[in-house]
Amino acid sequence: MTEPVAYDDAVDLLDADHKAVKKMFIDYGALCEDDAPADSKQALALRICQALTVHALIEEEIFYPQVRKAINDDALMDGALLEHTDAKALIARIESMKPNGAGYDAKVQQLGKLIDEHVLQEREEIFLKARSSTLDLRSLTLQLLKRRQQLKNKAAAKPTKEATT
Amino acid sequence: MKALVYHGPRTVSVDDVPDAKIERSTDVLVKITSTNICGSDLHMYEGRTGMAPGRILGHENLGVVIEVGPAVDRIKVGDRVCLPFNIGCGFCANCERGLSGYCLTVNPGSAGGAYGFAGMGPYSGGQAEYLRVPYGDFNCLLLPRDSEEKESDYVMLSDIFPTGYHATELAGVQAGESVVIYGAGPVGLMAACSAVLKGASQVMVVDTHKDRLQLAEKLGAIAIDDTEGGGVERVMELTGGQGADRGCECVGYQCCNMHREEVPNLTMNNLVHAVKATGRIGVVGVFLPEDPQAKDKLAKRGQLAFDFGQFWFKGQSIGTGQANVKAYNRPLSKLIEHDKVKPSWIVSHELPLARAPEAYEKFDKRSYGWTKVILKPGL
Repeated sequence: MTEPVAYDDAVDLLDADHKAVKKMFIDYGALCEDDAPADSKQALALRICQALTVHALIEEEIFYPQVRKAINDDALMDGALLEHTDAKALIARIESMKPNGAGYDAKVQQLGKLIDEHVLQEREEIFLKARSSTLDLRSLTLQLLKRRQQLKNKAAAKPTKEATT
Repeated sequence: MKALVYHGPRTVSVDDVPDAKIERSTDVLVKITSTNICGSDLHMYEGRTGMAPGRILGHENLGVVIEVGPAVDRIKVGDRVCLPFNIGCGFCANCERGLSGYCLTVNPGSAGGAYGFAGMGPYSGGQAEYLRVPYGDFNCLLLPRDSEEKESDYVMLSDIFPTGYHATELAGVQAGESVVIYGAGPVGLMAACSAVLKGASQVMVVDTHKDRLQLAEKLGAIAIDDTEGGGVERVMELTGGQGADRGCECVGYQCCNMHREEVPNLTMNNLVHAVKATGRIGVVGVFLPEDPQAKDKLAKRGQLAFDFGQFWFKGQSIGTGQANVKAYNRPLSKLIEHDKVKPSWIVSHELPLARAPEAYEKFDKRSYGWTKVILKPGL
């Protein structure tokens, strides 16, 4: 028995990622204000990084190229990719940092702000345009779902950086 | 065209911006003749939302259709229309059920779209000469024939009248019941008006602003001045120690105590105490998932220290959220057409668009006598 696909379309699937990550950023802010120990903050930060990495990959491999073809707006799609590049640099920085330095929280919060802006742009421009284009967003959901699961499994199998050092 | 543009906290100006235009075949273009400043505009004005600088505010709009897209059937050029502040598509699972405030398609990532509102999609506001209305056939309320002379009444159908009515619906107000309403701003006053319409036996309105409480009294409501903090006790006296059957929250997350300090849980907890056991509370005041500028630690995370124990112990229930304007605006328009209500009695100022910045400043300061402002781009 396979589980039925719950997402209406590709936008719903991608935005579910956005919402999940947003909740984690809010939780991170709460941990900072509550002076939570560095390791619990780091665990959450690394979960955020991993979720964003998977999300960015499925967008870049599957969603963006097809949307680019369908909506004919290269400037918009190039802008989105550029934002991904910025986010990835920050993610790499956070993943390599020790969690007890003063700059750690600032970096995570900087990432949160960047993602907020990126998500807003995606929702208000890319998603709306994709939905009113002829692109088959329902079929695309299955591809995204499959690839997301693959990437998540791969990440789960690989021990995280701080556990190996 | 001229439009009221948000530039940053407490900074707005009337600027020349590109004309609004038909962007999709289902759009309608409206020349705005009346557009209100709403209390929720002030959250954005004060920089307490994620509103991006450069955007046009204004979600309480009325005007004349000057152009329709090729896929618009019902609405014609020349029609006088009032626009619900929510933008709905008409065909998603929520719009189908009349929940157009939670449209699933117009604002991906969130349920619900609106004009000129933070987090409600990319749509420009109507405090401008022209407004693009998506899905025009669905969103336009075609106004009755007397709409020109009663324009200041009909424009209230865009938001505050349906929103006040929605508060009483969420609270489940029925004939003969007692209702306590926190907030005597325009929405609270409209909730009081709606409770009176529904035949409530007692309508109690709690606030600290004397000019607003006087308006509540004009409606036949019992005004309760909470400046000294005795509001809940007064409700208890008036209801024989039981509390009101129903409660309405019409203030929102920036509610203040008697010292004008924000206490985000104040009205919610007062309602839990002022409403009877098994009573129901309707919350239309705005609360947000996060409020980074808040002083309070919980409020920053969009949380409240809510008297949940008391709430549970009293077996109360609650209904929340923005009004689905389309679910109410047509029947409420009949009440105006047949002179059963005159929501324009709330209006304190009718001003040209050019004076919008001044109006924002006065309204934001709750300057005495500034209860509701209609901007008239044609003046």
